[in-house]
Parts: sequence; C-alpha cells; structure tokens
Amino acid sequence: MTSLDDLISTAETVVKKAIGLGAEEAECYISSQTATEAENIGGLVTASEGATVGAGIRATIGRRVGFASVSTVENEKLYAAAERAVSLARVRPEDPKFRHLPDPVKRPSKSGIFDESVESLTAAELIGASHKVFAEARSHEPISFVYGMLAANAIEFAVANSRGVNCRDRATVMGGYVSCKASGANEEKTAMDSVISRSLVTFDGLGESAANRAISSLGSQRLEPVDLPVIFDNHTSTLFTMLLAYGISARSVQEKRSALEGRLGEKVASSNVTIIDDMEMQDGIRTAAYDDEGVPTLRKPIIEEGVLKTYLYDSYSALLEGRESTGNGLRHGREPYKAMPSPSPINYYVKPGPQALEAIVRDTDRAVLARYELMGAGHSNWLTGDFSVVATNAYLVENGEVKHPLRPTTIAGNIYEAFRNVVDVGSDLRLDSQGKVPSLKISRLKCGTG
Amino acid sequence: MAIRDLLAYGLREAERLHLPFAELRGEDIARNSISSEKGEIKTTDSLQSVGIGVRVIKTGVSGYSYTTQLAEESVREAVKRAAGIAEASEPFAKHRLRLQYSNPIRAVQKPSVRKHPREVDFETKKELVLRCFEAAKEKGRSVSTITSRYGEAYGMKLFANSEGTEVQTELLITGLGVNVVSREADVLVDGGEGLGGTLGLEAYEGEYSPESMGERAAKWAAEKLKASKAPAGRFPAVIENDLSGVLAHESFGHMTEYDFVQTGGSPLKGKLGEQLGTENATIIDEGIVENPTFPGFWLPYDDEGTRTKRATVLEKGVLKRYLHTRTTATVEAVEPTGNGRAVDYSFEPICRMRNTYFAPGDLSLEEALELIRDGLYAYGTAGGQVNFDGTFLFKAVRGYRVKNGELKEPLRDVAITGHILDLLKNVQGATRDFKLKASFWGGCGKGRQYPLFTGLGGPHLVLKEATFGGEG
Repeated sequence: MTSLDDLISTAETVVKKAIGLGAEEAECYISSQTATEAENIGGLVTASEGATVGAGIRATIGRRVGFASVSTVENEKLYAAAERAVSLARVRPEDPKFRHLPDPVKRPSKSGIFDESVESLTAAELIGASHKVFAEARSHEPISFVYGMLAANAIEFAVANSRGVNCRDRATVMGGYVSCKASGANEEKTAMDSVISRSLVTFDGLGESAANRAISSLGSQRLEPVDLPVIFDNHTSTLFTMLLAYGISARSVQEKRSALEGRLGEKVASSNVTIIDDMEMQDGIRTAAYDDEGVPTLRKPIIEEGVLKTYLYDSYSALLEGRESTGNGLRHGREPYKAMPSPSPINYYVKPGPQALEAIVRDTDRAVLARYELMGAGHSNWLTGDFSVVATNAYLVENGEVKHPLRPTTIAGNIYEAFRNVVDVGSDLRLDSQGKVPSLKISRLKCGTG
Repeated sequence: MAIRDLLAYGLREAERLHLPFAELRGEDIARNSISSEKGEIKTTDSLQSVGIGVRVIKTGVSGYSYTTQLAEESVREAVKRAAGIAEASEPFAKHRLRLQYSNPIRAVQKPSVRKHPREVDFETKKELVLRCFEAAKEKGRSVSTITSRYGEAYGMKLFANSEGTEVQTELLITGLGVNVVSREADVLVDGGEGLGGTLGLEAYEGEYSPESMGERAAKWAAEKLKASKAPAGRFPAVIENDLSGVLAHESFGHMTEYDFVQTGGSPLKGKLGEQLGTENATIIDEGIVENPTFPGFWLPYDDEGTRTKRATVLEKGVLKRYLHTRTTATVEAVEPTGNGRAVDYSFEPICRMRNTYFAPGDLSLEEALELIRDGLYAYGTAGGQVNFDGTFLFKAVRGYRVKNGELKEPLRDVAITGHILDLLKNVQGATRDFKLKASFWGGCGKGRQYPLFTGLGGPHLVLKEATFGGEG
C-alpha cells in the first residue's frame, strides 16, 4: 500500500497539473485499498488478494465541472485523466447550481478505528475461516447449501483541491455474509446472517446462526391478505433508514425529489424516534475525520423525538444555499474514486428504546415478525417512500408468542407513514454498514402471502 | 509498459515459479456517461479502467490476484500472491480443478458497427441526451422530472495463458435511456424507455431515436397517472419481452450455472433430461446473438479464452445442459460452454451467463392475448430479486388488465412472484417478436461480482397462471 504522504503529494501534483491545463479549480481524490476476499459457493472457495489505487478528478471552468477517474496512479494515465476532466469542463454546459469547490474547514472531528490486524490479515486466514463457517452450517442436517463471503479491507484516501483542502484518513473494515438453504418436506427456505466491523472478527457462530435461522423458517404457512402490525428486527428495519437517506439528502430536497421537502422543524415521525448522524461512533463503518471532499465530519440529530432537524449537505448543495457543508459528501461504491461526492449519512444512530425484541413480541397480540432479510427493498419508490417488499423469513406472532413461520410474505406501505406509526423501538442496536439500528414495530401495514 | 508485454512477462514469472498453469487478463477500457435532469446536463463521467488479473492453478487449486499498476514489479507481486493463495487453499480443497489441456487459440476480434462511439464527439452524444428530454417534455403530461442518459464502454481486453492461447477482443456497449416522472395531486408515477447493447450510434435512429423513446416514456408516464394499483392474486398473464428475459436469466439461468449445481445451490441438480416445463419453454444462453437491432452484449470469447458456444439449457421444457467454465466442465466431463466470466480485472472468472432468453414462438401479440382472454399484461422490468430456493419477486414497470383478449385499463405497481419451476409449467406459448438488450448501467450480479454486462430479453410469454403481489 502506498503511504498516506505519497497519496497527498500525488493528489496535489494532479491538482497543479489540471490548473496548468486550464482548469480554474481542481480537486483530486485518491483511494488506495487492499482487499482480501474468500467466497464460498457450497464448499468451493475462491479467494483473492489484490491492490487497487485510483483517482477521481474534478476540474472546473466557471460553472462547468468536469469529472474523470482512472483505476491507476501511473503518471501517464493519471495525467490523461486530468486532461479528460479539464476537457469535459470545457465542453459540458454550465451548471447554474455549482458555486465552487469546498474551502478548508476547521472544526474538531475524529477518525474511526484502524486495526492493523485487519490490514495484515492474509488470504490463508480468511480461507480457513470460510471453511469453518461452511462446516458449522453444514453440520445441521436440513442445510443443503451454504453460500458465504468473507472480506477484509484496508483503505486510505487523500483529497486535495486548489482552494487549499489537503487531508487524508484511513480505515479498516472486515465482514462476512452467510446464506443457508434448509430443505424441508415440501419446501426450501433460505436465511442469512452477517457481521461487519472496523476491527478483527472471528466469524465464530456465524454459520451456526444462519443455519438455525433457515431451519426455523421451515414449516411455513399462508397468511390471507390483511392489515397487521409488523415487527421488523434489527436486520430488516434498515429498510426505513435506507429509504430515509434519500429523503434527507439536501440534493433531493433542492431538486424537489424529497417527500421531506419543506418539513424542517415539523413532526415527521412518532415521538419515540430519534435518529442521529453520528461520526463520533469509533466503530461506525463510514466514520472518518473528513468526508470524501475533505470537509470535517460532524455529529448532528436528523430526527429528534420525531421532529425533522436537518437535511444532509455536501459542499455542492450547501454552497447553493450559502451555508456550510455538514460533512456528508460521500463517494459510493466498491472503489470510491470512481464517483463524485453526494450527500449521504455517515453513520445512523437510532436511539434505542427500553425493550428487547423478545419483550416487544410478548406485548403483541397479533403481528407479522419480519426477520433477517427483505427482498425488493431497493426497488421501492424513493420519491414517495412507497414500498412493497417480500419478507423471506417472516413469522406470525399471536398472543405474545411466535406462532409459526410464514410463506414469503409481501409487506407494503409507505416509509414516511410508517415513521409516524412506530409504536416500539427495540433496545437491540445492531451495527451494519449504515450505522446502528434497532428493531422497530410499526402499527399497521398491508401483509399477505402468495 | 504495454499490457500485452506485461501479460507475457507474468507468464514467464509463473514459469519461473514452476506453476503448472497460469492465465493473465488485462484491460484498458473507457467508460463514459452523460446524464441530464430537467433538461440540464447533470453528470459527465469518464472512467479509464486499467488493470491486470492473474489466476494460477497449482495441485488443482486456484489463486487469484490483481494490480492496477502497469509495471513489471506489480505483475510479479500479483503472480506471487496468486500462487500463495493457491498454496494456502490446498489443505482445504474438496474439489480439485483438473483443466483439460486446451489447444492454443490466437484470435483478435472486434464487433462491427457503423458509428463507433470512439469516432463520435461529445457534443453529438450530449445532444442525444437532451433530445430525449425535449421529446419527453413536449409529449408529457403533468411532468415533474425528466431524466435521460447516455453511456458507453469500449476498449481492449487481452487474455493469455500458459498453454499459448492469446485472445484480444474489443469490448463495446452503448446505451441511451429516458425516464419521465409525472405527478397529479399525490399520484407520482414514472415511465421509461431505453435501448442498449453492442451497438454503434446508428442504433439511436428511427424506432429508438431520442424522439421516439422520449415520446414513449412520456406517454407511458401519462397513462400511469390514471392507472389503478394492480390486483393481488393468481391470474393468467402475458409478460412482455424485458420481463420474460429477466425471468429466463434471474430465475432459471442462474440455476443452470454449474458451480451452483455442483454444490447444491441449484434445485436443478440431477435433473438433466427431466421435463421441467411445458413444450413451449425453451431457454438459450449464447455469446453472439445474430440480430442487428438487438444484439445484446457481443461476447465472442469468455474470460478464460474459450470461444463462446450457444447453450440451449432448456429445450421444449426438458433440461438439456448446464453452463460451464473450463474448471466446472472437467467435473461433468463435458466441453466448456464459454461461460467463464469476470466483471473486471479484480475478479476471477466464474460461471456466468451471456445473453439469455426464451426462444421465440409463433404467436402474434394479439394471439397471445387471445390465449389468456382475461388476466394481466405485465410490461418491462424495474428489477427484482431471487433466492437460492428458486423463489423470486420481480417488479414490472407497468401493466394492463386483459379482458376478452384485449388490453384494457392500465395498472401500476405490478409485481410478479413465485417459484420458477411452477412458472415454467405454466408457459403456454411465446410470441414471434424478439427484443434483447444489454445495459451500460446495470447488469448481472453474482456474489460479489456486479455488474456484469449481459443480454436480457426475448419474446412475450403467455402464462396460464402467475402470482401477482403488489399491495398485499
């Protein structure tokens, strides 16, 4: 891996190069990552270990912004990318909403965990772990197939621009995902478990847990279409936070694509809902001292006791309103240098309630309990918040008890309506790539099996 | 240093380390896109994807590594890492890879198109995007947002292995699409149209000109304003080309990928020769589709240097064969079908589809609708999901009620769910018309490898009965 200092000086060189080519402003973001991965398809393990270094360059001429990226920092290709960014800035039309690249901002912010033992993890160790997870899952007789993916990544990034931004940070992330298929008398059921962390994880019990989840989904029964309360566990409740990210993006609001437009200071959720964008969470997956355009990150409530407190800004959307970025300019994807920044939550922290999931179930007369995984969440209507998902591991709750598993259950509603109908927030925060999210009980949604 | 020389260097390194088999892949591919929103150019992306991947096989076990630095020392390091992974995996290996020696191939191939995007300036492509907007704006009703986009990827892919095979192919895909969002009171709907595949820019004329596509997208969005929500339950159905393609690919195709079959991930294990569907269900996967308007994604060789062959996986309802890479083919002792593909240099080739579709039948659309008389017509695809157990959920972009064999009122929020093996037993027929598209933006995902360019489409399918989800 290249050193952090090298990344910064390379980024600065590219910025100068772009200015020399005629850009008025320029920015270079470089990410350098090592990835060690072991994928297990039913006992067949393929592993890889590799290094990628790439750069994304923004060049501006007036209100015209060109962006180009390249998957290497070999000088010739890197300078060619700078040239492409500048020439795009020449030919593309003006963007009336663009002001300028971000200025350096001084405010205290913190890096997340960088665990050297994740960085130095070898493919051999992951391959061993992958076989162990597989054996653990397959030791249960009804389990007929196991898919697993384990990975360890170390990423360093640097960003420099011609207005004086010049910063860097680094992170380690390790995680795993296991999906098991259980075969019963007349049906097959799949279930998954996953773990993600900034630090070293052992994956102990992951195969066991995924297997038990699949087996406990066997013996499923039908449910006639009906309106019922739905309890989402701390896996499936991420449906709501995922869709919320679109609505609270300042760009969605400015472009009139958000259902939360004009709702600042208003009650948009039930009073037991408090959601914070929390980058002080050291173990948060996206925690970093700076966002991906070099603005220090900031802790802030998004929804406090049901009231909408802020939208999330990157520099583009913030400068348009003449305000300061909230440090939410993130570049998405496996290789972040390929993308321009856009406003996104760093880490959600959903304030936990008093009761564990089991206690919420105990207090419930009749409901659907949607656990582990939803199909079709990504195909919801991002603008309106309407969703129709299929819960593959759903159960019927009656008189405070989980009565039996259900066939794949369609659950439909609207997330903004659901936020107003949150009757219980679990105490069981779970870390995933979005942040920490507990179980949620919604008073009423349309449910039914095929 | 030139990629071709680095591949040769990597092979020499592998030989020096006494590795019995090594293959290297290099790529240098431009990926450019332009998008507009409300008539303004919004993004102009330009990515140059450069990298080299190395796979070695030692004592029947593979190891993979990659680098994006085009230097001898980086390639040497990658070969060493790949060998190290093969060694580390050896004690655990249940299945040994036994590659049959393959006669060396030397080939250079490129697709033939009239207006290669490399030869067309930015201004013209920008105009394609803005013309979509203009047409949609003019024809739309209560339009709130129009987005349109153009994308292109082209460049060289090189392959070389220690058996002496050396293949150089040019990758090419272009795409143009438009989406219209219309809003009346609190009803918010969209309509979209697009074309993509290994196409020159001459493809975006006539029926798929920005004007035609913009007009259709606007018309469909306007129509959805009045649409009612789709009913839930079981109905006879006709499904349109894009959606039949998604079913062929997502629901059935993945189950024929031999790595899933071998390891129990597919319910099709041990079912070769069995009648799984009706006589009307034939599913094909192939690398080169001879259709000038709808070529899908042109792929003459896979990422293991194997010439792609047509694989008829389901023939008149009977499971005929599985899809194979070089390594999986040795398990079944069959010829590889040319399905070893990787998303890019950073991945090892695994068993993947190319262009997958139900074979067309002899019905006209009118005859297809007449066959079901009363039911639903589901159009297009807005994505979906499939599980290893064969259950699926797909969203159509819109639909219509069918009454007395005629299309009646429009529907929105149409979702089709079920199990693929049930669905195949319900295929009553297919139409003559055929559309196959490949998307610059989307593509197939398998495990961590996403998105892979694949061709999707086919004819209309007639289903005796299908489950529609929607609003519970």
